[in-house]
Amino acid sequence: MNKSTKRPLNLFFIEMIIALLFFSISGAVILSVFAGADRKSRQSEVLESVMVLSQSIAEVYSENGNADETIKIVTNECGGLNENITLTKYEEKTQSEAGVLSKLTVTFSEDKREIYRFTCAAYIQNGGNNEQT
Amino acid sequence: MKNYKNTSDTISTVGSMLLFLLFAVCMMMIIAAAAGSYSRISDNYGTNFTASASIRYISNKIKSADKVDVSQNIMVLENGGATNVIYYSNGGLYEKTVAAGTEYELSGGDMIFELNGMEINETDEFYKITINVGGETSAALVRKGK
Repeated sequence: MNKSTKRPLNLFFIEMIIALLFFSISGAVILSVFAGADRKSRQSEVLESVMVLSQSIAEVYSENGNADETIKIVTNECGGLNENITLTKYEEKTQSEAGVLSKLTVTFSEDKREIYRFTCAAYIQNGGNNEQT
Repeated sequence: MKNYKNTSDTISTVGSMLLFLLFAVCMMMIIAAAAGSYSRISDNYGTNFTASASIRYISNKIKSADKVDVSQNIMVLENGGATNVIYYSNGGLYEKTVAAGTEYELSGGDMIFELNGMEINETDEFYKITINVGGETSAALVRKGK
């Protein structure tokens, strides 16, 4: 009687569970890959917009050699930065008899992580009277 | 006994089928998520590439030109013996090259990029290029002169 009440192991059932386990793990991996691809795409989008902005900053800075004025003009004309993006600038001026060599280093960061940095320079003759060289 | 065995087999088969159904539904959901994700990435890539490439294209054209005239979103660039006309028409950025001094019409140019809009404004010191692709607007400044 006892022997007859034992449920027989269904091999197909076990195989299906193993297959489901395998595909579940694969699904989890695939979803994480999709999430990663989406994140990379968004980072690429941000980087692209930052690079276009950097181009404008370099163009304007080479014209006026003034970091604050440059950022103001570019922000007004090309639109502000994304909320998560912060811009930090470092300006260095080297005075000589012929004029002033200004170097501007701009760093863009997202959530305190640096995403892009560039340096541009402007040479202003006669001590910075905005004459174009 | 025989009935019990049959019932057990039926439950096992139905359970297996339900598991397979669950697996199929999960796979469908993953495929749908993948398709959505790929579509979004592809659209974003296309939009970003078109916007930045068109801005750089126009910027480089301005920088390499001997003389630039901008009026009503039409840019006329003179390069040696040729005149390049860059304009926006019918959802695209077009460029037409004619011999210098030749009359030209804004038709028959080569499409460079598909855009939703383009504006070129001129200030005292800069050209401002504004590009609209897929509802997203990108703008860049290019200084005058070489």
